[in-house]
Amino acid sequence: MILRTTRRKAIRVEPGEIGIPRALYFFYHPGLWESFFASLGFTPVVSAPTSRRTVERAGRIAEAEHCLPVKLFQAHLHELVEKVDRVFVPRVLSTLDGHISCPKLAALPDVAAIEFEVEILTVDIDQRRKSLGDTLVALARSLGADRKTARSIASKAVQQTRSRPRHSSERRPSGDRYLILGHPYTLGDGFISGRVFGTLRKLGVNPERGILADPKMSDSLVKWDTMSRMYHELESIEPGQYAGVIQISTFNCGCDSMLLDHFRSVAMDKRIPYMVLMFDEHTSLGGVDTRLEAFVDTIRP
Amino acid sequence: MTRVAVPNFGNYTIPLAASVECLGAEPWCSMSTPETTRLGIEAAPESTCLPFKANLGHFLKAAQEGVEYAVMVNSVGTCRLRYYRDLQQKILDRMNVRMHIFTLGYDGFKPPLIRHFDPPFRTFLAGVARAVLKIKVVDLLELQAWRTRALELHPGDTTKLMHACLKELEEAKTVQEIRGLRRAIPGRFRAVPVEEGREPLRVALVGEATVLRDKYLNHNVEDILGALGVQVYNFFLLGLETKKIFHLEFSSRHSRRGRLKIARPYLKSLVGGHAIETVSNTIYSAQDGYDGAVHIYPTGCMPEVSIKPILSKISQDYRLPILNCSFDEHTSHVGIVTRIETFVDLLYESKNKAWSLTV
Repeated sequence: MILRTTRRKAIRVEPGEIGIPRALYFFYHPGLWESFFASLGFTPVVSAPTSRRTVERAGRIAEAEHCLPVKLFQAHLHELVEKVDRVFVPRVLSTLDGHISCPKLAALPDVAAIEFEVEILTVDIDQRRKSLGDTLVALARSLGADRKTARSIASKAVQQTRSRPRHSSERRPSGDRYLILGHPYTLGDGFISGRVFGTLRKLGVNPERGILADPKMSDSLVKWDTMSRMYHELESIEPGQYAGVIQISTFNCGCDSMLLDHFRSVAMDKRIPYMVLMFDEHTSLGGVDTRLEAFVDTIRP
Repeated sequence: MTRVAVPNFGNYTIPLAASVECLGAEPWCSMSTPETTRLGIEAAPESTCLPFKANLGHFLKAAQEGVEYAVMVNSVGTCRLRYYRDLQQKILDRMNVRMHIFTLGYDGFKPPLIRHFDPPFRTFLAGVARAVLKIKVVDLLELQAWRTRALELHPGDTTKLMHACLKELEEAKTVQEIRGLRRAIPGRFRAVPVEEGREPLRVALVGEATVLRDKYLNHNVEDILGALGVQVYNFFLLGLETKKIFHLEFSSRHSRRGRLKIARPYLKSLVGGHAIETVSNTIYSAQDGYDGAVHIYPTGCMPEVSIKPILSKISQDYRLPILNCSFDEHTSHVGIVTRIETFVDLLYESKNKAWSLTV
């Protein structure tokens, strides 16, 4: 069953436990949804971080042709369904004005409602038409908060997303800087990208993640929101700023399949070494280490 | 005369070619072949979808033959089609291939395509009229062929007639000729000897447009099914699609709103690509009493893969058997034939029909 919020219709739900899968949109604004639902009187239940077991579960239940993040999303949802009977799955249509999200995110609530016997609470996130703050106000209102509370909750939540530091990794004074590019949900998921950061630090260099910032976007051919963030991050690099760029991609990611070759040519024009690391549920972490070591060794003076 | 390559779109390549004539240019078109597909696979990024590779290969082949211009549709949707033109242009530039790909999008008052060729108004209008008529003729041909092929007494008759008609259509230059052909088609198909009194199985073909239409990419699914005595209905008809794009269809089930309404119990948003069409057509075919549906899409197609769970739910709810076939460059022809044969066997079993085939 889908509980869908619209302006006209309020959803009558008793505050209680609400499941939030630790996947996909969770990583767009880490912490946003927990604090938002907590301040509305719900008890947010976030699924456990991705582990080998989650991946196995994903392989068992998910659609075979999906990319790893969507498969993991299904596994997280599957895990939550065992614990709670209401889950929050927004329909992410756009997270950036003038851009669109990956089409796979648009069908998530419908597919979740079909695959799992659970109440799905959903809201359309379309930042082409409505800012995140307004969406949150509408959601809070339809969940029963009065106008004033809804506004304060929403503005607090939005404030919190803004106050996050641009680069979350601690920077050490010495060592080359490496830019790690990827979708928020590949960079945020420790299972996918954790090893990359860890290995690079062990090699004595500074990995820095881009993408969470909202740079001033010029018009470009890239219309997918997260890809556009990566593209502008890559475009805005000054020569010598980074020793290399490591792109984290997942197998069968439609967005990456189209644009990574273009990204590579941008990096080539800037004379910055660029490497794509492709992850899927069978990726061997030893192989990742070897490739990172080789990449760093070839760049190191 | 300047030559312009048009994308390959199955039998609809003929009307597309005719529409290029309205620019006062000579169209270049051919069917997909192993060679064009190979060219595309070599040049395209590895995990792009099959239509992208096929299309790129097609243009590369055109460039090898000295064609300098090409036309590509321009989508504003969320799926990968939106990037086809720009990325293909970038790949061609990087390969030092001299070819400019025009889009159909607007840029100021006139589309750049028309500004570049600047055809006389009369040539343009006449060309458009011919193209629209040719689309209608192809639609009619397809409908007739699907019906006749399932019942033909001598295997291959319908396909032969179809090819003859298409050839004639390709060569038809004036509106009168095309109209005459259109009038003659139903009679010609009636003349094909068919098995009387047998009610064939009806199978709907739903999914992604390019793979649905390009007979090389989909290993000629229509013929395979037809030869098994199945009447197919391919839900991508360009006539209807064009009407939908130009908002000429208002309230029927083919209009945008109608499709959203049909799909609403299962899918409440446009996903991109042809996802909403696939869902609504599947529901429609279930309600209309089809015996089964074949879901055809390129491997990893973002919208179609996302809605696969929805299709299995529809399949359960309406008790409509659905066969999912994903196509990429490694898809084996024999594999597809075997799967379809098995599917049709099961459909016959479930309908308790006698296995009477002329194969």
